[in-house]
Amino acid sequence: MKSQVGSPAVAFALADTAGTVHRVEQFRGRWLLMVFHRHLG
Amino acid sequence: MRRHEEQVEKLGLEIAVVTFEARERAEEYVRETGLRWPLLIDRRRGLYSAYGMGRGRWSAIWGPATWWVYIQLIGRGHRLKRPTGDIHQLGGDVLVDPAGRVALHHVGKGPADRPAIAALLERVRQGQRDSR
Repeated sequence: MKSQVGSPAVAFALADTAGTVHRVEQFRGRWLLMVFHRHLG
Repeated sequence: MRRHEEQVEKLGLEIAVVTFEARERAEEYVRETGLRWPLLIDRRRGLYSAYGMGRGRWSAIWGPATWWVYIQLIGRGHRLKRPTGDIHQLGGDVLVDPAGRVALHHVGKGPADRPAIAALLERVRQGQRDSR
């Protein structure tokens, strides 16, 4: 997989466990680290 | 990452954890671990796929590096459980800058393959210095 450094972040709209939907746009202006889990154990 | 919470907060770094597992399991995980950051549920693995996080090879999933991670966890007092869920799904880390561009993109080859937290935090610090 080619590195995506420098590319725009992939758009997403995902709900968290409380049902709140998060979108990549809401993080504009701040640094965001997305930690993709493997399985939750 | 949680051991570095103070530095994360000081940097103003937002964290979103992503899982492909079902909501019930994700809720259970948050209860078990006290996770403070949002755990986003990507059941269709669309975001995983968009960032190239597919399925790992058996040798990478169960290789020596993985066993070393588990040994360290046991040494820190963690109790290991039989893994559940899709153990072949790869994870990774994606750091996005304030302009919405990918600043770091890491696809783990196996469970032990993650960028060092210190390196991630330093990348953010460097970005903040560069933007002044």
